[in-house]
Amino acid sequence: MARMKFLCDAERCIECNGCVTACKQEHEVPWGVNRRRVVTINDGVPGEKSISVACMHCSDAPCMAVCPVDCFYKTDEGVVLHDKDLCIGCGYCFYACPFGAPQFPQAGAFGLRGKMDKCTFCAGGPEKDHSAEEWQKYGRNRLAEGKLPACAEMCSTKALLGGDGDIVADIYRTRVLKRGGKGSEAYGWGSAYGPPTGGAPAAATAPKS
Amino acid sequence: MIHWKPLVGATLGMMVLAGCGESPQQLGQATTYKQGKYQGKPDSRPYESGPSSYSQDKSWQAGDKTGWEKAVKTRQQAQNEYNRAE
Repeated sequence: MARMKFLCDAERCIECNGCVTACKQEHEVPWGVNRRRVVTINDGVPGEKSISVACMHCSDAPCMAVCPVDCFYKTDEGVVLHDKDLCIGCGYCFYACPFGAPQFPQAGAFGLRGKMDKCTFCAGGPEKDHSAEEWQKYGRNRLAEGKLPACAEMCSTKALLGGDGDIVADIYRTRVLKRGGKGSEAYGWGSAYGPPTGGAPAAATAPKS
Repeated sequence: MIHWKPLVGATLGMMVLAGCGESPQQLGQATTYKQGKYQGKPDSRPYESGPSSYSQDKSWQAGDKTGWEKAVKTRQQAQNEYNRAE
């Protein structure tokens, strides 16, 4: 299995915030913490575009590089997770992250920060799978149940895709070709979504004449 | 008397040769983070514990990596509405 990845199709996202709500509900994320959020460019202007953003589970994650207590780790599935027992809530990862993924719950008066919280790709953390400790610290572990992140599975327009990077690329390629190439004008599309690798049926990738 | 020409030639040669060097840029070359090798607690693989008691899909068991991958891939194909509609 390849690495787990998210992909948000800006042509489909309707800024419904269903993914944000699904995440909040699934993990009972505390008030003030948004593991996922929807960003809209040119809001209110015709042709506005929205994308859903959370931790992108980078291949060479900057949060891991800057963490002074080395509390991050990457699973074999390519999911970047962290140990909240080690986290000191310093906030370096927040400054390092290009996506603003690390979140810090308010832990008291005067803006005192708690331990960092971020998207786990619904893969829990370094506690026993499906245990109360894991639920309390990291939320639900859907990946260990053979499921995908709640945000992607809940997405009504299927703008947000999540899972094995190869299959995500196949689904997106099929979609772009079916809708007449809209989305393929982006720089690097050809190299990112080259020939199919085994996700979608090969026949479905050819555009209809 | 200092012979400048060979000295300048050697310096330029060194500068040109220095451009040939290239450090590897593969992933994980600069920093390597391996499972369980960080400062914190080791984590288990997602397929090691098996489906939870409230999970509907019981098609795979604890430790069944292939079954788990199949379950995830099957679920992922549900995101492709072209597969479902046609």
